[in-house]
Amino acid sequence: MDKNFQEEQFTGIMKFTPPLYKQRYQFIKDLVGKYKPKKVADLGCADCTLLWMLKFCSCIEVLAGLDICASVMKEKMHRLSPLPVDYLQPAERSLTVTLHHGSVAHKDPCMLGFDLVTCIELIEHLEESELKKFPEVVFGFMAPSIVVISTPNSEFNPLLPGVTLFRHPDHKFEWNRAQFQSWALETARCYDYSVEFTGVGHPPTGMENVGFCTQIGVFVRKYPQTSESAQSEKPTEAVYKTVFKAVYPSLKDEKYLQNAVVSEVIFRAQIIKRSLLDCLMSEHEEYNDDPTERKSKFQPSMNCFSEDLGKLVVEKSMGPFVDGNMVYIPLKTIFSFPKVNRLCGTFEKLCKLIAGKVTLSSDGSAVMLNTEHENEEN
Amino acid sequence: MRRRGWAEPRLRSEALAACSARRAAAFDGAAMEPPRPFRLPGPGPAPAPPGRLRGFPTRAQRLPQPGPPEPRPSLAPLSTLLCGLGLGERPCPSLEAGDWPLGRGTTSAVEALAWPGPAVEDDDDKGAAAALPTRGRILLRGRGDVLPGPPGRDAAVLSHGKPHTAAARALCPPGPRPSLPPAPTPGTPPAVGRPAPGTKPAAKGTTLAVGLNSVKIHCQNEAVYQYHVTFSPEVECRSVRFAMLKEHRAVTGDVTAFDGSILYLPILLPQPVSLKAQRRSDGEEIAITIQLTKVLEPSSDLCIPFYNVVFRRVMRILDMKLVGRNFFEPAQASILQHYRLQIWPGYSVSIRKKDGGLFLLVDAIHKVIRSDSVLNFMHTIYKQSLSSFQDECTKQLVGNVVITRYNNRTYRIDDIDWNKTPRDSFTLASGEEITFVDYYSKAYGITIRELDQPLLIHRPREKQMPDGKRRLDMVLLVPELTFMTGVPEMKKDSRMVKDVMREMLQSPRQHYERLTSLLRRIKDSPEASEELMRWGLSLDRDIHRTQGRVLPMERINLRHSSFIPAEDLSWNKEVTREASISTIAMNYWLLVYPKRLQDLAKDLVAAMESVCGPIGMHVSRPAVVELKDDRIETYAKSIRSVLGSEDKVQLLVCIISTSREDLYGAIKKLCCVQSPVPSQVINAQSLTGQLGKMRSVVQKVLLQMNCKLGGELWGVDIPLKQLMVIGMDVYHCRSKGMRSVIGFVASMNHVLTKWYSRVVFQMPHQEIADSLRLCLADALQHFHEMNHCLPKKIVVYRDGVSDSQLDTVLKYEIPQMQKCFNTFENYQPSMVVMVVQKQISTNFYTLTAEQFVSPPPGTVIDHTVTSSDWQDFFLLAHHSRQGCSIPTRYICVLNTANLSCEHLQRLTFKLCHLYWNWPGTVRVPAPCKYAHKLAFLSGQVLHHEPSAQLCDKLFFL
Repeated sequence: MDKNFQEEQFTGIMKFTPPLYKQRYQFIKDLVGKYKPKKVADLGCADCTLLWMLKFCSCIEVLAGLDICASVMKEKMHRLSPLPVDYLQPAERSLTVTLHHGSVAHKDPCMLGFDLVTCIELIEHLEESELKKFPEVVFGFMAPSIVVISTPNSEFNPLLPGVTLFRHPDHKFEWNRAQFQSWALETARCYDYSVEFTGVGHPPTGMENVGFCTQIGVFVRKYPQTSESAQSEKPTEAVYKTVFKAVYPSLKDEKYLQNAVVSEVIFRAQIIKRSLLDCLMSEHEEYNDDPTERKSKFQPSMNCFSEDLGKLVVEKSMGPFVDGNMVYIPLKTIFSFPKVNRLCGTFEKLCKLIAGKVTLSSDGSAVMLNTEHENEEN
Repeated sequence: MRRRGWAEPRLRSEALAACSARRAAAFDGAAMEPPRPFRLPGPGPAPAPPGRLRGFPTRAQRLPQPGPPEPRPSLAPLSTLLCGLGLGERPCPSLEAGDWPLGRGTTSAVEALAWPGPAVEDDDDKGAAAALPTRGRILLRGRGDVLPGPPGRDAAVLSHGKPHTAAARALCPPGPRPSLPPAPTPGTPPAVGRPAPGTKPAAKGTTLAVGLNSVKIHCQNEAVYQYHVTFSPEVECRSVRFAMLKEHRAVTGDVTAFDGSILYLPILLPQPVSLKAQRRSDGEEIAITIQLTKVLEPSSDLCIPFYNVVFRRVMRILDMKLVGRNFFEPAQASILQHYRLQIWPGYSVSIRKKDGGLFLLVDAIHKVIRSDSVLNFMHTIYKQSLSSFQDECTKQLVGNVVITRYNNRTYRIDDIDWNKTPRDSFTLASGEEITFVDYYSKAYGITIRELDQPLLIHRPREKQMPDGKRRLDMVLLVPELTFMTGVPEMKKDSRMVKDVMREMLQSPRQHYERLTSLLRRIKDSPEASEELMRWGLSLDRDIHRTQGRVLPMERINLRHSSFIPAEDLSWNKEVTREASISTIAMNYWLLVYPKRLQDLAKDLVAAMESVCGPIGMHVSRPAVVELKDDRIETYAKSIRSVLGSEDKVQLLVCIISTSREDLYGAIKKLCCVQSPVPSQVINAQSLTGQLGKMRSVVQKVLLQMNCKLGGELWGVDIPLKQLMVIGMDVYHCRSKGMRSVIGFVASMNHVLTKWYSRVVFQMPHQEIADSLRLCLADALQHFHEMNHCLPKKIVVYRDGVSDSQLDTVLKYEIPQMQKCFNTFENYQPSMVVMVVQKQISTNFYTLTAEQFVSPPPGTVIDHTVTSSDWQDFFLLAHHSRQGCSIPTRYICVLNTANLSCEHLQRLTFKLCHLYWNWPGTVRVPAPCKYAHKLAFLSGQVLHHEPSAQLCDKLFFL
């Protein structure tokens, strides 16, 4: 389960590149890339390496890990925490990572509603009694859209030096392809899943008949989950113990959304202000006429900040202008920037988010910036 | 208590505060000083008690310090060369003079706060990260400054440490093993359980109840058991050994600290323990023997490393994020939207063994971090300066610490590779070639948007890995994926700094509340408390409270009077109204300014003439050089030609229109290296901002000029005779591979008002070699010329030494200096070497009726939180208007002069009064501050040794 590395490291003859465990994880990552599940659970997550890899997949919003050994999970669980930098630029998606301590032979409602459940090198560690309950828990109770199960292919073992009985002392069994496939087909039939077989770790040339080193079954539920009715019958008693939970900062959270919007609004406003003042200065120098010109409403020509405004057409009436030592940048102008637009969605949302955080003109239609501030910064 | 009634009205210090806050104040050091000492305030300063007793204006007490003869050379040749300057009496417009754009002074405080200690490198990080996740693993590669002493070195530590035995009393001959004789006076810090210092009869000064930012740790267990673990046959791989031992948790228990051979457990195992394990690689059976080697006190030095690992885990349980070596809470960030900055509150924590037992040292800190990626930052630079974009980027980025978005590492940027892009490839550990774009996409699912950005270079410090692995010699980083920490250089002088400071300011009360809130969180989290209890550790509920001592006030001596300063220990009013100890008449000086500043120049001269009288200074009219523009070449050419043709110029004063580093540098290079003459650069732009302050500003400039000319401003009573005080500090260049610069300053008279200075450039990692010996020999030679004798006692204040470098000072620097005594016949002076540490995390508050305020200047702590290995004390010499005061730590590493701890404290405090750029006490002894200024000027501006002709003047002020 967690000793894949050694397994590959010391085989001598059979050396996989990349290491087999990485190939298994990559297989899952590819699957996630293909099906874009939102909620993924890894049963037998061990030191959480797979979960750590999956947290970078932007489609996933809920990640859960389950293991029978709490200490092995705890050892490296902190790498599942958000990084400090995640707070600087919160992601758009939300992400919650939870680790549970418990057995795959028990049902717990926290495992309901998942799109993908992975069991990488798990089943061979199960006692016979646990293995018996396993299909009911995973396929019957959790009933995710997709289940991935990987397990050693014992036909490959003769190619692995030093392996006498099993690849790892904790393995309770190791199946050949026929054994795994018959178990898988039976399980799939029983719970209305279809199953396809594949694997990772190609056999050496001339030995193709032994099959993959790791055999993998991908189970896909045949019918979409009908309704909540199926779940409502299910027991709600929690038996797993939560050992870790991390909620990532996300723009779905109002607090971070507000920060992001305010930051973007001020950033845009400052850029517009700067180009406006630059225009003003150059015109001022050109004509050098009476200073009242400064007070007059000044409409910058597009080339002044076309770079920043892009292809937006700013109506003259709502363009930014300078009055005294204040620069007014209409919110409409700011809203027309794609990033602001994308963040807020609606103009009303923009107004709501920046209320009290950005200095606005008396009628609330424009952002006000002081021109003097600018001088200081340059 | 002792100073009630001696306070002064706020007026004066406000004037100073206003000056110092500006980017260029008249005293360059004046502005340097105040921002540093405080840890940033909350509300305003405590109201100063009213009234002020002017101290003892006894003329008779003035020091026998005859002023040097004042040369009065003829003005004629110069004035014929240069046009005169009409000096009309005009109302002073706002004027502020400045020698140097002092944004730096302010920002260094920000940096220090944001990033205490040297920039953390990835390797430090790695050590921590590697040690953290694995329960029961010892952080072996301990940091010297975190660990009081690596295991096995304790014997060595004892030999030079605080004398525990009478054997250590013997005075040391020159050599690497000096010891400190226990002083006969009660000032010596004894071990644990010392009665309050105030109760000792001879201890001078008043006692004061103080709170420390340390929390006492109680050890509940009786002992920690140290075992030796042997594997037979030998198992080479450490991780395999870890795994094998881990399989026997049933025997060892869950709570272990194991480094591969030494195992620490909180429990006693029945002896002997023999276990078996199977090596998975070849199936070989390995016999494991666990042999008890020692029963340790739970507070043993050997336990400190893994206690710290445990405590880091506690911080993680509280959901704090490790950045570098400190913990932060980004979720609690304050956001400065206008500057695109975030300020993260956090803590620096470490468990250390002190004289008073085991303590958790906690400090409430902040981290400033840009919410923009480095790439965005580069875009901003690009928009501002197209032409010099690459230079500007290099200037602003190199030396900064960045944090990456995909892992939690921090790196210092050493260079930028403009020829590489993320499309270039590098070699993975597996030998596979991969482009940066593909790598980040594959490993972290990150899509790099801009494919044409350059890459940042980080060069890890050369270090040998314990397992002999070769380290990467270069790390390339993608700007888009990195974020800058600290305040960017270009904005350092703007109002941003003020805003950032305001965000970070903490009053002593706020600081205290943050500490107690951490303690509460640990207590309230069962998991966190449990983590500590696994090793039997429990924390006090509150910070540690003890007694400090306030040293007696020092008398300040001027030419005709002396006085006891006010409570906040500043004496601006006195020094600007009364004659300095000695003044040099300015008979022959040059004033250089661009034509458009001619009015300002006139005002300046007028102001100088009007304020010079009270100071006791004579200012003649200058010879002026009016420049047609303010280009650097114009300045340089004119100055060069004037100085080339005239060798009688005493002082060169330059007015520059804006704070331009390049121009400042050019002038200083001319005047300090090529044609040595004391020089004063005054920034006109900063002058014009201040209304009605011209007079006070010019007063300060004039005092500063007097120092540069060789005059003496004020002194304190120095009872030690035939004494030489030396200050040393090091300047390190921001970019790596550059030479560092050592400033060396030695006193030349017994009242410590004459100074001799030298500068030494050295390559990185180079030992100080012969240079130090030569410096000292020259200083002694000079001393002899001036006094016709050699000093009998030499006290060295060495700044810029971390805990881990103390041994270097002891083994290399001190013997070198002692070697130099042989140059003189029959010369065996006694010597004291004090290491000065400013960047420390210890601080204290006064506790008066549950009110937390900064203690008064002169507060000393020499017990409880002092080191068990060295003789050290904490002295808070300065007064800070805002925030928490951070004391300075002094470590006495050599004392053959039989000076008691109390004597050293008082001498140190006296020296803190003598920095002439600030009419008040400063954080460090004046010679250190002078050495710092000198090293900074030489390293940052001159890049060259200043001319030897200036060695007897404070030209670097």
